[in-house]
Amino acid sequence: MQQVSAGQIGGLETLYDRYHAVAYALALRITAETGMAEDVVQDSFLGLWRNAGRYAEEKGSVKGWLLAIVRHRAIDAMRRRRNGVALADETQELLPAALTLPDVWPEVAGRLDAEGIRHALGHLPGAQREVIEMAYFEGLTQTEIAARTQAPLGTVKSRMRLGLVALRRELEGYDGRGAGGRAQ
Amino acid sequence: MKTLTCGIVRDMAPGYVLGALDHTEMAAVREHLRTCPRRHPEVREFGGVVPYLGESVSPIEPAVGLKAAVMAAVQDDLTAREKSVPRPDRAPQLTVVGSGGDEAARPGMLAALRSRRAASWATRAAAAILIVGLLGTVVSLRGALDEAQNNPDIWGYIGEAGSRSAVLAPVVGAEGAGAAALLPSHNLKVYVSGLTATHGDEVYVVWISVDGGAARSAGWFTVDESGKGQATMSDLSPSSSIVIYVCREASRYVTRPTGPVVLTGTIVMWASPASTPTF
Repeated sequence: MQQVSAGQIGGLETLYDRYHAVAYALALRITAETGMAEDVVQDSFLGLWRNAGRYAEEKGSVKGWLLAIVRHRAIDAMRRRRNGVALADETQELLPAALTLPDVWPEVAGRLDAEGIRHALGHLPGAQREVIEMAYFEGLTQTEIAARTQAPLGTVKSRMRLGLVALRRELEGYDGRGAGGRAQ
Repeated sequence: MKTLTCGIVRDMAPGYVLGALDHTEMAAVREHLRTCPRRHPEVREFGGVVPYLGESVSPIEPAVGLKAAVMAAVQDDLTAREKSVPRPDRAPQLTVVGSGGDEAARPGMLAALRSRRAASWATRAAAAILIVGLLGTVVSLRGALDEAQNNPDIWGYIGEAGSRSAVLAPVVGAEGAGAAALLPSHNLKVYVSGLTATHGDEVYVVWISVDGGAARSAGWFTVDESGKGQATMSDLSPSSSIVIYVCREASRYVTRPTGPVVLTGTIVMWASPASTPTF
């Protein structure tokens, strides 16, 4: 990332080689369209390149930062297509600083992989997982989720809170052997 | 922006970390966290989960050409950066090329275009189009304006305070029209209509030349029978101009303009005595 900040294209190429597949997968999951997903990935790496100077290592991993950019731009693209409304340009504030922090989990993060995270998500009650996925992958607000699911707004808020608490527990308990240690 | 208490922020934290609050609520929470002397550990606790959601997807290999497209875009950006000049102190003014607008502005714009000693082909192409426009393709430009006016999306962006815009007029022999707006957020929005439908891998690519730099892609789109398309590019900070030209290309992965130019227009930014009020 230091190379990218210094304007060295080789550094960006290294990051692309390392993270393009997960970036594309996330963009495709959100947009459900290969062409749009490719655009999002290209735009995201370009955004990372242009804003590399704003990256702060102590605030999270490069991968996390890149995926936050991908998510933001994918949701922006979908929202524009849906109703012509773009998200605010929040390149500098893709997420509040705390949200890109690995928090106090370095030991947890080290053993997490996509399978482990999916496993943790799979252990959430369906209604809780649904609101979290609607918010993260579809960019819906709590109000929009309430309308979509025909659930009271208060219920949506409650499910979101409980879901995040439970997901954190699951992730903390994941033992790296394909099962949530705490759930066992 | 409404003021929130710590208790309310605690309640809103899950929605905040997932970006699931509306814009005003997000801004209010962000402002509270920025100024509140308390640490709000709940935001950190909930927020620590969020980055992992993006990693729950299984990696998928994109098309092979994507890497080349990314690296070409980055290379173009680097080239443009090296050619960039300091931004003017004064706020730039909107100029619509070939729209029949500000008569006093045209000589200044021509001078600005002439002043580029090493003008790219994009700038030369735009200058040629401008000359054609001045010579009398009034009808097509009128059509372009009508197209823009009939599109509420375009009109909304053009009407946004601080935005600069341009009509995209068809080159001789081409069809279609459009408009482009550079928003205060530095996002460039391009809308076009009346274009011939694309087939197979064909796409329309929006090429831009920022401040006379090398052409780079600002996005691509396919066109169906509706004849409409759009593209968006972010993080643009021109100091003098953005030349925009829409080309029909055989593939989205082209890294340089190769197809025929269909539409073109220029957003010009300057601070000439004739066009800029005294502050």
